[in-house]
Amino acid sequence: MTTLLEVNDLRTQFMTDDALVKAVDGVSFTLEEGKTLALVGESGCGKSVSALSVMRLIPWPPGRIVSGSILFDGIDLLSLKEHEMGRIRGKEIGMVFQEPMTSLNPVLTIGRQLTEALELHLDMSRYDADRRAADLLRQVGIPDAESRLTQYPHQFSGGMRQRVMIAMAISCNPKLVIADEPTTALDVTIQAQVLELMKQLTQRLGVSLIIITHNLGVVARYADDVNVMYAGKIIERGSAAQVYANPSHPYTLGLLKSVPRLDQPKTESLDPIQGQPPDLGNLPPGCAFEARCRYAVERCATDTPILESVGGGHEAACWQIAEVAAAR
Amino acid sequence: MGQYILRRVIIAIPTIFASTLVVFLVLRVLPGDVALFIALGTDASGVASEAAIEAIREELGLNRPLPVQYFVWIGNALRGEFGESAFTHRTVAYEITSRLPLTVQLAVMGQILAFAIGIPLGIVSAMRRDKAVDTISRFWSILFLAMPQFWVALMLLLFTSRVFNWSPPLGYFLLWEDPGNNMLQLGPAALVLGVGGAAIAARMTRSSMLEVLGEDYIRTARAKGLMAGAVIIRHALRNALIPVISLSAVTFAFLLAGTVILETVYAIPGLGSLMLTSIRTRDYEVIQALVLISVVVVVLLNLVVDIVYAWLDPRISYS
Repeated sequence: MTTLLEVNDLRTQFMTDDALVKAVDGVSFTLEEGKTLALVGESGCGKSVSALSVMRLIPWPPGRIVSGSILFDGIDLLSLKEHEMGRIRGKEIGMVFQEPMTSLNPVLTIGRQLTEALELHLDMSRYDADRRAADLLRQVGIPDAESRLTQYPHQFSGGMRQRVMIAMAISCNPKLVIADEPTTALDVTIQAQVLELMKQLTQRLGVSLIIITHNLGVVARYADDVNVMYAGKIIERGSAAQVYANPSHPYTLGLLKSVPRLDQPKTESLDPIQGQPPDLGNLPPGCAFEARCRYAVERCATDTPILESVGGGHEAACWQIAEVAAAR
Repeated sequence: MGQYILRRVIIAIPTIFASTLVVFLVLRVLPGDVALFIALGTDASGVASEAAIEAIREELGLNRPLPVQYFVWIGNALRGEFGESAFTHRTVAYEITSRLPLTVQLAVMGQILAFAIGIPLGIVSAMRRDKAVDTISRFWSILFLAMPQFWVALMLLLFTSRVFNWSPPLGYFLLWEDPGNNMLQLGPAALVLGVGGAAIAARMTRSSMLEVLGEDYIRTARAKGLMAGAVIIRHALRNALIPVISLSAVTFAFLLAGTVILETVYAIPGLGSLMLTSIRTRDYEVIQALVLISVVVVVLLNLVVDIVYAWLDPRISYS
């Protein structure tokens, strides 16, 4: 199996008026060809910034990738010039964004928004691009594809727009699709449809998928591997099965316990994580989760834990792995 | 769409009537009436006798009650009869149609210059936010917004006459009869109008562009691999220009007002200078007709802009 994407010690920072925000602080991960990787965490933990860093779409100012390397298919994306990166974006890596309502241009037809990438990357004529665009709409399950092409985004529902976004992301046969919370803004029934569609399309086309989510249900069903992020760092990683069966970081354990379960009596209360995520512009020394952690010991406030193996490629960054395992 | 236009025209009718009524009344309230100015003009002593003034009032029908005067005028106007100037005795229709081409040309040239300078400047400013280009363009915009047009016009006149010993030609030149002199006469005035308008257009385009550049769909366009130029032209510009275009109806009205001053400074025989002369001499029929025309033009312009707006933004439909 070959590695498609290898991110090493990525650091992305934002300069704000009063602080330097370390949104991504030394993140490393790899993605094998044809696999699905989930980046999981709360809002503001750096998962979206990681994805935008891979696409080199961090707005400067105020954001900037300060160090690290991103090897995609053997190419270091961070060393590319802007026009070279333009041949990766949309062509080799497709992206689906969180907000289908605002991610499509309101004044251009759906057809035009699909064909422009085809004309740019695949050198298609207007006619061929139109036919391919209609075909793409059919692939993502939009009926009446030909007439839909001439319509504008406001004539589509949220779920339909997200299908259009997916069609756009896969239009140029990319090797990788990054989906940044693709279903967060959608109704629950539509969420399942969109996720199934993505899974089925990426499998059929042999595309690797990075799915960014805070929904652990999504992870369990669709991901091969999971990276759990907290305060700009990956704090636990492993296969989806490993992380579900043996959550080894207190944060992961807390996330799993925050999910309501239908198979437990209603009298049993949820056990959410207490407190708020830390301010990324002013991180305490030591473990960033220490203030909210029920297993914290003295050492956690001073020393930053690093990822350590808990067996079989499953890793967690915590000084109290043994205690967490015992409490599980 | 046809129904929408019809509805808008019907809504505009009360607006037009109200404005004619206001102008009619204001003219009657102003001290000194047209009869006084005519009498002053005919009497070499410079002092008009009350009897002479009264005779002229009688002749022009100014002694009738105000409602009668108004309805007679509006009734004639509705039939396309705008009367004649109390001074030149030429028909108002002639006075206006002979001068209209110059003012229309001046306003259109000014608007074109305003967009041609202002919009690109606003785009560059937004793309190079807080860089030197942006700072210079913003300084320039504020400067031209702050300087009154008549002053800029006078300075330009002073500059060309002192430095190049040149000033715009005087006379009546139509574009299709004497294009050279026409452009030389209108050019400086159009430039002054244009740079003033460009200052507004640049500021509006810049802020609108900055807002659009922060939109999610711009990020989507970049994620497709489009380069900055295509993102700006295909994705950002059309969205950014929607508010600029819709406000241009308002700025064009200001521009029309600006022609009054500029035509006076550059001695251009257009509607603006006609307006000023007529107000000075209380030439009622001429002023009333001019105001009526201005109001109709502004109302129509707003309608046109709303139609263009629907064409630019597919989310808006008037059915």
